[in-house]
Amino acid sequence: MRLTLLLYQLSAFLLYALFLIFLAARAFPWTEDRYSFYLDRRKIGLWPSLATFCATWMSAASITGFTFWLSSGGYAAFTGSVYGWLLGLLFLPFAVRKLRTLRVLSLPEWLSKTYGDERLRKVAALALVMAYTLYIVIQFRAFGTIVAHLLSIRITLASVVVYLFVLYTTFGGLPSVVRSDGLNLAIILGGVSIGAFWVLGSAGSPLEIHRELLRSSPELLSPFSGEPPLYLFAMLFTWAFGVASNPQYAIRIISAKSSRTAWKMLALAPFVVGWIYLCLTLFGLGSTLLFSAPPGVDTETGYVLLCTSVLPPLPAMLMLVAALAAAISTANSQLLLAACALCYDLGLGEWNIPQDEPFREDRFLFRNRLMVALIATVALALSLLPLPGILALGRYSWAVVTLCFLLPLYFPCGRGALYFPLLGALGLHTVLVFFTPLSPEYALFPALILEWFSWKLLLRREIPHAA
Amino acid sequence: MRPRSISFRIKMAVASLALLLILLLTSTVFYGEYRWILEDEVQRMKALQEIAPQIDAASLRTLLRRSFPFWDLHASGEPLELPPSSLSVPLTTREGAVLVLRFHPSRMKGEILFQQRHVLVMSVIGLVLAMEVAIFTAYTLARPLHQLAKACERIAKRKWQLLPLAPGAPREILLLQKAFNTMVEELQHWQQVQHQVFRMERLAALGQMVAGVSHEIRNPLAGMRVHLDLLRESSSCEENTSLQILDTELDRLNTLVAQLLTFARPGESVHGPVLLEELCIWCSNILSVQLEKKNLRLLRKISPRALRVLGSMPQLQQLLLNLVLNALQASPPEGIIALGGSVEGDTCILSVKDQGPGIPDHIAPRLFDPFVSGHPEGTGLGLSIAARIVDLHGGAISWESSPKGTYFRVVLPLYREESPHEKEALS
Repeated sequence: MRLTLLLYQLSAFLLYALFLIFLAARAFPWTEDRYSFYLDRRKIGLWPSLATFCATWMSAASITGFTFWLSSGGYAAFTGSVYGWLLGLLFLPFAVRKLRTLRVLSLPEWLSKTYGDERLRKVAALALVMAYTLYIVIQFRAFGTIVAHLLSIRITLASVVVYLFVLYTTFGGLPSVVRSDGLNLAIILGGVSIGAFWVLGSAGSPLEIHRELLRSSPELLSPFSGEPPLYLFAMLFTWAFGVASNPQYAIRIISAKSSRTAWKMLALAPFVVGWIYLCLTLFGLGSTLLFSAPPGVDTETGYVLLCTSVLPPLPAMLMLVAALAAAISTANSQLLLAACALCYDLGLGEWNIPQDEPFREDRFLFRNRLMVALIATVALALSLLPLPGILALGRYSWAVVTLCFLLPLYFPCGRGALYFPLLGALGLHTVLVFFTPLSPEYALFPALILEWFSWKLLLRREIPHAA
Repeated sequence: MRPRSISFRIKMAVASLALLLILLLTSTVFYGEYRWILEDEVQRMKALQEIAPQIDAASLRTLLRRSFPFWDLHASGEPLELPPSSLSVPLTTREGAVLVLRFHPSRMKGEILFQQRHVLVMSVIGLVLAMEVAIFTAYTLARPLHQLAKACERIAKRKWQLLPLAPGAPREILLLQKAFNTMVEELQHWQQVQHQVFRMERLAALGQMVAGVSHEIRNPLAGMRVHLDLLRESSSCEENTSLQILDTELDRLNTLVAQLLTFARPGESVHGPVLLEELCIWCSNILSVQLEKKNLRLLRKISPRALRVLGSMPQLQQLLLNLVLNALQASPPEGIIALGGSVEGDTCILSVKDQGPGIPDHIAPRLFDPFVSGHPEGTGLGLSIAARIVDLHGGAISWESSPKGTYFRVVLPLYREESPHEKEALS
């Protein structure tokens, strides 16, 4: 059995690697410029947009973290994550027109153009680089753990594999990321669907699973099972605000062929991600009846144990590869955005290149790729260090993103005076997270409130000056 | 069919080669391992066959289960249907019972795969690395060629373009880039020479015509001037206004004819030492009224102060006057016009810099041609006369322009006092 499983896993991994290599082999075309590298010339049609949006949405944290939490903690996983993610999705249609009108290449650029302050762009770009580097660490760790299990190899070697895959798919810019995302979404959909159906076959229909849980572990069916409601609500809103203001979704809205395409993409996305969550929920709840994870096990290992213990070799392998695909699709998207923030928004890509240099764009894009490699290397190094768990890192990154973009995108107080409130909010959040016992999701709210009030206050002080 | 790019070919070649090598290496490793284990198993089984008659059936079964995982045991009495290629070995126990052992190659292959899984993982890493190296190699080779194509396109649009030499580029590419740059420089030089020859031919023809026409116009103008003066003596106040206009227009015509004649025949060129400082002061005095009118400042920076050029004083006065008049017209009110003089090797550099809006692009290539002017009221002769005078002095004139101003640079021969020894030799 062990050998059969290994054979399946090895074949699946090899096939995935070959497909990825084939699909994303378009790195370094000469004809590209930053507009095509970052946005694929804003000509991405509905289906590729939908595929890349959903594939980026389903990160390794979503698949492994949610499934394992659901399996061990019950419906509280919904309250603490999925509700938040889906709530965040409801915000996004309101950003479509705002984001597309200014024809910008990045969200920090949108911020500076909308609020007329170049400093905002620099601060937001710095925050993005930091937040995304941490978030990429999550993807590397999840991928590393899963590949290490799939192939019975060391995590370090597995992390090198993910590092190379992510580099490879990001060198080609957004066009290459979109292509690989199509494959990744297909794998995720296939994997979670087969996994869910198999569990339904073994554990019974959803109603039967529910009844059995009601009988054996009723506490799992409570929306706050085992967790303080305040904590779950804080988490819910952290995820919701994070999704609403996350540049990785905003950039998919900007790069869509038209506003109509973007709206259609946002209208169809809940069905795709909803299906994936449904499958993961059925799998997670069903597997609660079939297997109980040993205590103290971390999320990634827990997910691997869940898949391999509950499912036969083929579906287990598909579920594991789905998590790999999710890790790659999220990591390459974030890596591209982090490189964009460094090279385009912070100006490293054009630093020391004369204005009249005829091949300026070519040099700029080459530097982008160097930055992609640099950020990925830093993330790889960090992924091998004993940092906090997946969801903790994710929450911190998303809180930073929320502070930068939530208020300016959805609740603007006025047209200026945002710089110091934003700086203050980021500073307060960092102090609260690192120097007090507050977790990132709790620290987010005082920081957001500070940002909003100080913005209002500064605007009021500015208006008499202007008058 | 669209030809495939060099980048695609390199990626395909490297990917195919890498895949082939990986297949060869992994199959060699797996086959070698398979052969080695198989031979080992056969040897071990032979040895077991020899010692089996000394072992009882129960011990033999335990031994087989622990040490021979790739063999299945069948008692002699059991029906055994074996494929013709399968390896089966009979063992006779101490009790005389015959056990038939069947070898399972698939089980062994699976075990080998598990033991050698690192080879497969390293193969995938190698493949991805090979692809990444292929992409970089293709980029390194294709990039200069693309740059070359782009530069050729720009040259076709008459925009001179030199290629930046990449220090890390392959030698052949560097050679190609250097050859291209040399070709561009030669073409530029050739174009300049061609332009100069063309200009000289046109100027010669124009000069002849202008000299003839100017001469013919000059005489009637002199007559008109005499009669105008006579009329003025006997005219009334009302008529005086009209006569004044006639007088002004005649002055304008005279100036134009004088300019045309200067252009056609720049006059006697008795070359001698001309003190640049003196030349600039003269120019400043001549133009003081116009400068004051626009509230402009004329700055002089001659270093060394006793700097002298070898040339004709009247012609150089005309040259400087034309350049400064040009600057004066272009400068905004309260601006600065800077006159400069310096030594560079055996030549003297005379410069005039203004803070005007720069030379319009459409006249830039024909700036020194006659009748080309950026101002609607200009004759377009000032700069062409200046260029002519510079030519007659064996010098060179060039300019740089930006929206912040224009800078004219005139190279003239430097006057050097001969030493007593040289004087003696000359006499």
